[in-house]
This record gives sequence, structure tokens and C-alpha cells, in this order.
Amino acid sequence: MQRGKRLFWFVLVAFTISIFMISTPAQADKVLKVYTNADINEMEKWAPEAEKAIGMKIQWSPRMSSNELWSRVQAEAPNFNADMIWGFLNAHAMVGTQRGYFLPYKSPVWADIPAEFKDPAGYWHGYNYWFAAVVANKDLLKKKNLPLPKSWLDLTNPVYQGEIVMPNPGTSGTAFLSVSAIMQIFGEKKGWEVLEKLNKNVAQYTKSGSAPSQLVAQGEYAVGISWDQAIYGRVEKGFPIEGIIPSEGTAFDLESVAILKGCKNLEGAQKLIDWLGSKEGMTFIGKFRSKVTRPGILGRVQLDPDLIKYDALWAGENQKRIMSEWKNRFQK
Amino acid sequence: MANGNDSPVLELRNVTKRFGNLVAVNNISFSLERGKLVTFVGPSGCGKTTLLRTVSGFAELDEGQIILDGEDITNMPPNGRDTAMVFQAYALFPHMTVAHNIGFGLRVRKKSKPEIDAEVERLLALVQMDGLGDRKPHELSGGQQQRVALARALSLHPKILLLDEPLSNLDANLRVSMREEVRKLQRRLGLSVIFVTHDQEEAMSISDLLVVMDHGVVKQIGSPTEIYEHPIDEFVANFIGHINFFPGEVIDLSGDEMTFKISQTNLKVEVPPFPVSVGDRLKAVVRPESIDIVSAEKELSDRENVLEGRVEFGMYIGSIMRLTIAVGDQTVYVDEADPQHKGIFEDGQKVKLVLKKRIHMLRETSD
Amino acid sequence: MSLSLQNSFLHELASDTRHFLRRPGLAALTSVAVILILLFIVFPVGSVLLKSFTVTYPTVTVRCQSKVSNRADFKELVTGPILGAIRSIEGVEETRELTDEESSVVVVRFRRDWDDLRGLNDIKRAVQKLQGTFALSVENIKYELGQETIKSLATYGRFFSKSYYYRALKNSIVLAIVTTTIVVFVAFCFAYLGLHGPGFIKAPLRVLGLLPLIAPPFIFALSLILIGGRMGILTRLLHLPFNLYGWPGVITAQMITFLPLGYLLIENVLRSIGSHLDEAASDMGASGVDILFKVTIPLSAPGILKAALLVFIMSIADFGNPMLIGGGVSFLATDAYFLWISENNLEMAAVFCVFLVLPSLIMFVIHQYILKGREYTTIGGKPQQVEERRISPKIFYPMMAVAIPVALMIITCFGMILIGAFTKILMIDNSFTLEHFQSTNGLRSLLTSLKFAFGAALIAPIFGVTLSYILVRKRIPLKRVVEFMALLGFAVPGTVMGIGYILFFNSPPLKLTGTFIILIINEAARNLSVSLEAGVAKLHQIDIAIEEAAIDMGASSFRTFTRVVLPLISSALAAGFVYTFMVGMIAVSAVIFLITPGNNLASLYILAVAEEGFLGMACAISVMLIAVVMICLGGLKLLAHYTKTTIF
Repeated sequence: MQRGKRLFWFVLVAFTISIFMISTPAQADKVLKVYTNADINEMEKWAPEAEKAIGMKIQWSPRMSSNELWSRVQAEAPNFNADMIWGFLNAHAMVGTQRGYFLPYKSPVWADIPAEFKDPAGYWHGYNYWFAAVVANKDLLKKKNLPLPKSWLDLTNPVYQGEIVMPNPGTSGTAFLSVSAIMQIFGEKKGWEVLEKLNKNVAQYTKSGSAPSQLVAQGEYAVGISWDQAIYGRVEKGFPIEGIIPSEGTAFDLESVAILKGCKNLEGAQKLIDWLGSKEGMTFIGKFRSKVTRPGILGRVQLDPDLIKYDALWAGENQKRIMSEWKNRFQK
Repeated sequence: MANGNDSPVLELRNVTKRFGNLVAVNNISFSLERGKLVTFVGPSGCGKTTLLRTVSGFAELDEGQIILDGEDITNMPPNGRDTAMVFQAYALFPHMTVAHNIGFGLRVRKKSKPEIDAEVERLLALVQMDGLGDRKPHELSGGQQQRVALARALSLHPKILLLDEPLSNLDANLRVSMREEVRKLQRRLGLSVIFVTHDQEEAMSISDLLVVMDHGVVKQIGSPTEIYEHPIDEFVANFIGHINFFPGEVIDLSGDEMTFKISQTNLKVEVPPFPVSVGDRLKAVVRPESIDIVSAEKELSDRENVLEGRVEFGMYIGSIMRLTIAVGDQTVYVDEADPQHKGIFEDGQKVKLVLKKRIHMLRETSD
Repeated sequence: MSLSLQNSFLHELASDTRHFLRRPGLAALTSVAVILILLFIVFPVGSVLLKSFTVTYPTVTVRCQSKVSNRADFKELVTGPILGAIRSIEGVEETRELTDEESSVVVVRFRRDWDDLRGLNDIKRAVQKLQGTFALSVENIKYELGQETIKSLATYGRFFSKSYYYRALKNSIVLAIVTTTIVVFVAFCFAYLGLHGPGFIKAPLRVLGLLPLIAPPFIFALSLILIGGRMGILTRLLHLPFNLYGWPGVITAQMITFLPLGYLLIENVLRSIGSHLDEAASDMGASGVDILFKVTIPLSAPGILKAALLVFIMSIADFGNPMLIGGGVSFLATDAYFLWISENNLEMAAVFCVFLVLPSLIMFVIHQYILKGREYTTIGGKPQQVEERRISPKIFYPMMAVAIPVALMIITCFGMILIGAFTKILMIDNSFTLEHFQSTNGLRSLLTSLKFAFGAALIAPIFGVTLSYILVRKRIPLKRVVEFMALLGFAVPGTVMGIGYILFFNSPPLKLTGTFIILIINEAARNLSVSLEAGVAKLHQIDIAIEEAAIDMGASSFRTFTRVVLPLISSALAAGFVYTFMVGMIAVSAVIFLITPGNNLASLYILAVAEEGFLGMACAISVMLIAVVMICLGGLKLLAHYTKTTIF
């Protein structure tokens, strides 16, 4: 080849190789790969803190909604592409334990955390819990002359037609939690009636549970169904919104963490579980989440929301059934 | 027709066309008589095609005027002009049949279908393409495409037909027969035609009038004989046919005759039709075929205007033998007609060349 | 007739094969190429097809052991009651019994959409209830969750029985037809004005027609949300009672996204029509409008049709735009993704893929094989100094009426992205900010994108151009089949390639998902065809006599390729490089299935962030991405200039 052309290709190849060199960590085994359903803006802060605590680099998944994460895990089973799941629905943790997706770990740090927050065999650990709630844009409600909804039933009021945004239970853990909550509060038969009416008011179903908070905060919709910190975080940022815990009560989910079978960095995974259970870890997470599971450490929400006795096992046992019913009814 | 038949069908007045800094056509004036075929000829880039395109309207004039049949069409768009062009690559519409191609102009003019069909039939017959109306252009030979292009151009009975190197894409034999056909057709229909070519032989054979161009200017306008026999300058002489130049000096003038000294000998020639005086430097222009050649041994009755030389190289072409002869330090080309009968000269053979008394003279240009 | 045709085909095949096998070097190289094509294009697509014909059911296996010697007793006393109890459980579809000497095994198959955890617990409860009643002592009852995959057409049945499934097919096709029509129309106006319009309009139209190329394919959806979403600028300012979510948004965004493709192809077609045909028509008295409708459009029709087919394929495969601004309208490409992520329903996703592939493949086959060579090639005269024909006002004004709004829309879209990137929250807090740019993960993903795009851009052209050489110059058996398989990567929508990869590369020994290299391979495989076609086109331009001359001088086949052919077709390599790099930087549809922790790409990160509602951050990363693409292209251009290489 002519010299110029040779030089051209040489530079290109050299450049490509150098990009690979600078961005690939030297020690691959010191990287912990995690799947997470946590929000991007949370993860952007959590990951660096955890990296400091465990002394390893953490690579986290693209932002995934709860069900997306779980679908990925199921599709990959039994050859998982991550070392662990840091943050997923407790219902899924139960299913995964039964299916043998996880490696057990009995962390000494977790010894003094109540048994209800962890798997007896150590397959999963719950480090914080969060609840589904309703968010409303006060300005927009006033402008449109709409009342502030107070309960799940209020959301079925036809005045809100086209004003409600809620996550899609097919993808979002928040939405599934809300749907399960309605089922558990009203019973399945009445529950479907409530959802039937709610569906008539919903203008958009979003992929993630956080998106409705953002959309309501930005004034795209007046009312949304979302989860605690997605709402309260934005309240603190000064958006004209208000979080409402439905008067019938709401369900909470235990945010869990588990080590996936075939984990390539067991040390790192265990260290992360240790850190999450530790005082420091819990205190740190408590700055972002409503409630953490270590007794004596406060989360962001001081008030005691009216939580129903949510049955996560029921959720794990009935998710597919509820979802296919939901699809049949509402996805025309 | 509004104007009398003797008025020119086309008149170009001081036509100038520039492309950026390049003057493609520089201040050209010329007029074409009705029913005549004029050829613009010149080397490529001389501006002949551009000049043609100013007539058709594809090149807008920078200066000057174009009068077609008494009407000033200088600022008229191409589709308004009563001219028709045959393009070098024919420009047949590939998506239309032959009949549709020919009838295109008539359809644009919204003629009735029977009228168009009849006219297309007539034109097909005219160019001897009867029955091929349903073909697509790519199914035709080059010559046939050429005929279709011609028929299409004729369909609108243009006042003037413009042919842009129409034969250059044909092979040699077809070219010769096509040009005869074009000429016959032109005569039969009394068409006024401008023909553009760079092929001097084609230009000579087909034209009533030649316009020899170079670098955007007209070098000479004249009938083929005039141009061939009396080229106005070296360029024209060189461009049209082969030529020998004998530069020399007038050393004696006596009545109709003068003595012209070239390197080796003195020639006795007729005085040219322009004033000359003793001491003028001129160039004798002699066509290869007007030189007689005999072998050196042959005794000549008339010893005037004889050059002696040696055959360097002979090329037998059949009808003629083209000889390259060294005369002193000059190379002279001689075409010997009918070589079968006159005998074939060998390389290295000594020969005598006899020049005529009437020789075309050019003033030697200062460059 | 058909018999003799078949015979001649077989005969040719046999002779090609003999010829081929006599050249071990060529045979080895070709085999490697074919294996790679099969592995990374054909098999993944094939596995999607296979998957669509299966149904997977959850199963629970119950094993009990007993020390009883009499098997008949065991069956009667233990397995029988267990089976009886299980059969009455809700959701059970089938039970099977496999009893051997030692133990009794019952496999219970549940309904497809039943929760295995529920099934398991129901069975446990039922068996526990029985436990005390067994006449024999039963030890060691073990339960296992599993699944069973059965060949079945049931998924297709469900597809056609539920409107929310088949509606996606209908929507996708309607969308593709509408988008294609609009794109072709607008692109024609752009191209026509860009070629024949007055000078001052040409350059801006050219630039605007091509500008969307460098942008991630969904940023137009993003900026349309900023403009005409529920809280968009226009919606707010004008108090519009409607917004752009749904059909209008998707169509508008797609129109802008695919304008460059249509523009490039149609401009090429228009350019190839010799000006002498226009002149001939004009000479025959045709007006500008006559020429447009009687000459230009009929002549360019086959070329325009080809362009339309490609736009159709792109539109139906589009992922980002429907995802962002689709507003809940179902489309095949996105719904296949949602089926996977929300239900892990790979079977239905595979059926979606089949319906996604079918129209694309039909269009592709028409484009590649039926229309091939149908364009009118016009014999050009020698190049003339042709003067610009003045465009007729009857054409100019209507075309401008189409082009100007679209051009303004493109400018506005880019402008909105820029504004959005530097504004806190558009329309709510319009103060200037740089905070959207401070996303460490966004920056990291940019670097990953660069790595990814450069990696793919090196692989695709080298492989594609080598393959083009084999296909054009060498005699190999089943050439057309090999070519078709290689082009498949382009014809098949990204969603299908993505799902194909997760199906095919998820288990050992081909466990490649989760690696970075699989992303690069996927991208290279999907864009192979562009390099391949560039190589083919270039090779057709090069007189084969040049290679024959080299061989005549005693050069080996390999040497001829490296020393003579490669330098001559290096512009095809470079074109392939630039193209693959550009599309790599903005890739979405296939890679979204393949990213894993640490491998997130900028384009996907933008999509995720935008989906979350962080439009400002999405804009900011888009701005950075566009900047990086432009810097890289500029660098390439400089490098090419400095090394005197032609790249584009």
C-alpha cells in the first residue's frame, strides 16, 4: 500500500487499541458486577461510596426496572452475567431462592438485624424498604381545579381522567407493589374493579416506577403512582408536588440483595453485603431511602406511614397470574 | 413564413459566452442561409459546442444577440425556441419507447393522439425505422438510436436543426454512411442545420459552409473548398487535412510570377492574391496530394520547382501511399495516388518532388 | 424444463465446488468467512425462528423415596394419593409419573403463565396434608423447580387471538408505510432543490439533509418531547389541547431520523440522470414541470423505489423513537423488547421478531434481487460545462414549501437539545446550568461507546471488504447464498439480532453474552453489508485486467490481493470504517439486549435517562455524544487529508 494509506490505517488501529487499553481495568478480578433496580441518580452516588468500602470497582447494570432486571436474570439463568443483584424485589428474591439462582452467605454483620429482613439460609438480605405512594402536582391540580386525592379509591374518580400517570406493572416493581397492595387491601375481586376504574383515568404507563414522579414534578401530569423516595426527593428539591400515602394504607417492599450463582468475585460480593448491613452502610443508604432494616438507624422518612401487612410471598406466588390477567384486561 | 426566403434563418451578432474567467465564445457573428448546412469545426475546447448551445438556449449569452428567423430569441428559454437538437449521446429517454420518444415534443404540445401517431409513423419511415416504434432505446443499435434522436428532433419541424457531434459515438463505417444520410435528408427536406464536429473529414464532406473555430473565436468561415485550398492561417491549414509548410522569402517579383526561395531551392510560383514585395517572408502551404513524386533517376521535362529527397518511410494505405520524404533538413509528406499503377517506393529510395506553380501562400506570422 | 434447470444448476454447483476445492487457500479463507457468517448472523436469527415455535411451561418435580420393596404397593399407597392431590391443584395442566426401584418421581406441568413458586408451595401444602395419612413411611421428599419446552404453534395462535399482539404488527406496517411515503417525498424535494435549486439554498439543504446522520436516532423524539410533549414549549405556550406523544410524534421523529438515508439515495439517483435528458426534453418544448413529471420522476422511479424499501426496513426496525415518543402505541420492535423485559416472554418476543423479519426480508429481497439492475443507466456524453438550468417557479415554491418547514424542524430539534442540555428544567426552571453534564456514568458510557464503535468499525470493513473480494472475483459454490447470508445482518431488524444473540450465545460453549466483545461482534455483523457492498461496488469499478497483470507478473493470489487490490479498494475500507463508526456511536436496537454491567453505551444511557424523565441529562449526554462523533469524524478527515487517503 502507499505510505499515506498505511499510515492512515496504522493510526486508526493504534488509536482503537489505545482506547481499549485506557478504559479496561488492569485487574479484572477486582471488579464487582452488579445488577440493580436502583435509580440512576442514586446509583451514581451509591456505587462510589460502596467502592470505597469494599476496595473494589463496581460496574453496575444499565438502569433497569424491577421486572426488567428479573427477566434478564431469568433469561440468563443459569449462566449469569453479573456477580450479584444489589437491589431487587423481595418477591423475586423468594422465587430465585426456590429456583436455586443464589449462593447463600451468612454474614456476621447481619447477625443483629431482625430475622424478618433476611433469608434464614442466607440466600438474600433485605437492607431497606420502600413503599408505593401517590404523588400529585399541587399547582397543576389547582390550575385544573381538581381535588387532592387521598386514597386509592380517590384515584378512580372520573375527574382525573387523562391526568394520572402510573408505571406499567409489567416492568415496574413499584407498579406491581401497588397492584398487589390494591389486591391485598380490597381482595382480588374488588381489587380488579378498582384497577378497572383506575385504568380509565391513566394517560400513560411508564416503564419505571420513578418516572411518574419526574413527570408529575415537571408538570406533565397532575397525579402519579410512584414510590417514596422518588417523590420525597423531588419534594425536597422544591418541585410543587406532594406525596400522599393512601388512606387505605400502602404496601412496602423489602429491597434485597443476593449473590448470583457462578459469582466471579465472591469476596467482593460478600464484602458488599457486609457493608450494606453495617452501621455505616445502613446510615449511608438511610440518607437516600425511607427506612433501613438495621434497628436504630433512621431513614429519610420520619413519619410512620400506614403500612399494610404486605405479603411478599403472595406477590411472588401470584405475579405471573396477576400480570396476565392485567394484560388481558387493560392491554386491549 | 414572415420573412423572405433569402433572409438568413439564423443570425448571431457579437455573441460572447464566458464560464468564469474562461471565454468560451468570444464575440462571434455569423449568419446561416435557409436550407443550408453549416458545420462548426475545431479542436475540442474550441467553443463550438458552447456556440451551438447558445443557439439552443442551454447556454445563456453574456453578450450579443441571436436572431432566429427574424425574431430575437436571445432571452428565450430553450423550451420556447423553435430549434431542435440531436445530442452527442442521443439523450433518448430510456423509460420511453421509440414511438414515445419521437412523440414526446408533440405530446408536450398537447397534440391529439391520432395526430401524434400519424406523425410518429411518418418520422419513423423518414429515418427508416418502420415497425420499431415499440422498442425501448436500449434494445436498439447505436445507429438506430441515432435515427430515433434525429426523428425526435424533426418532429417539431424546427426552424433550425442542431446536431452536436451526432456521429461521434458510431463506429467508422456507420459514421460515413450516416453522414451521407443526414446530408441527403437535409437536402431533401431543405433543412437549415448547424452541425458540430471535431472531425475535419466529416465537416468537409457534409457541409455547405464551414466555421473553423479555435479558442472561442472564428478562424475562418467558408465553403469546404475555400477552407481546404485557401486556409487563412497555419491553424486552419493544419487543422483541415495534412499539410506541408515551406517557409521562405520572396526574392524576385515579375508580373504574375515570383521567385520564392526556400531552404534548398528557388520556386517559381504565382504571386498570391495579397500584395507582396521583394524580401517578404512567406510560407508556402502545400497539400501532400498536390506534390508529384518520381524516382530520382527519372528525367523530368520541366526542371522547375523540383525538390530532391529520400524516402524515409512509406505507408501503404491502399488508395494512396503516404510517404515521408527527407528534403534536406525538412520533412515533407507526399500522398501518391494510385500506387498500384505508379509503383511503390521503397524506404531509402532517392526521389524527386515536383511542386505546382499555383501554391497557397501565407504571410509568416511574427510568432 | 424445471428438470433441466435443476440439472444445470447441480452441474454448475458441482463444477464450482471442484474448482473451489482445488484451491486450498481460497477454500480455507472462504470456509472461515462462512463459518463466521453462520455463527454470528444466520444461527442467531435461526434460533429466534426456532424459539417462536416453542412454548415453555413451568414444572415442579416431586421425588419421594421409600424403603418399601413392593413397587406396586408404593404406587398405590404413596404415588397415587400424591398424584390425586396434585391434580386438583389450580393451574396444573399435566402430571407425569416416573417411578423406579428407589423412588417415585412426579413431574407436574403448570399453565404457561402460572407462577412456579405458587405451584411449588401448593404442592408442598398438598403433600404435607397427605403426609400423616400415608400407610407407609415416606422419607426425603424433594421438590425441584424446572421448565419444560415443547414444540408448538401455540404462541402464534396467541399472537393472532389477542389484539394487543397483532395490533403491533398492523401498527408497525402502517407506520413504515406512512414514514416511507413522507420521507421519500421530503427527501425528493431536498435532493431536487439541492441539485437544481438556486445556489444560496443548495448548501444549507445538503447540510441539513445529512445532519441527522450524526445524531443518535432518538434525539428527535427527545426534542419533539421538549417542543410538543405534554409540557413542551409549544404545548405550553400555545395551550395546545393535544401533544405529540403517539403517532404524530413517532412519524415526525422518524421522518427526520430517516431523511438523510432517503436524501442520500435519492440525490444519487437524481444525479445519475444525465442533464442531457433534461435538455433534450426542454429542447422538445417541455416546461420545467413537464420535465419533472414526464422525465425526472419516471426515470428515477426505480431508484426512488429502492430508497423507499430501505427506509421501510429502517422504519419498521426503529427502536428509539417509538420507545420514547410512542406514548403507549404498540410497535413490533419495541414490544418485542418489552415482552422480554417485562415478562421474560422470549417465545412471544420471538414471534414478534418473525413478523418483524418477514416484511423486512420481503422488502430486502425486492430491493436486492428484483430491482437490481432495473435502474435506467443513461449513457452520458462527455462532461460538459453545463450551466445550471433555472428552476421553474412552479416547482421551486411548492418544493420549498415542503423543504423549509422540515429544515426548520431539524434546526429546531438540534437547538432544543442544546437548550435542554444547559437549562435546569425546561419551562419550569429556565436558568442556566452545567449540572446535566456532570454524570460520571454518562461520561464512562461515552468512553465505552467509543471503544465499541471503533472496535466494530475495524472489524466490519476488513471482513466485509475481504468477503466482497471473494464474492466478486473468486469462483465459489453457492455464491448467492453466501452473499445473502452476509447481507441478512442488515436486513434483519436490530431487535431480532439482539434477541437472537441472547438466545444463541447464552450457554456454554458459546457463552458470550456478558462480554464486551459480543457487543462489538453484533454491531459488526449488523453493518457488515455496508462494507461488503462498498467493496463490491469498488471492485466492479476496477478493471480485472489490473489483477491479471499482477498475476501475469508472477504475484501470488494473496500478494495480488494485499499489494494490488487492497490499496485500490482502500477507499471502500475507509467508507466502511466511517459508516460503521457512525452507526456504532448511535446504536440502540440490538445492543440494548446485550449490555451488561460495565458495558453500558452512551446511546442507551441517553435512552434510559430520557425514559426516566431526566430530559436535561439526556440532552447533555446527547450533546456530548454528537460532539464526540463530530470530533472523531473531523479527526478522521484530518488524518485522511494528512495521509492523502480518500475516506468520504
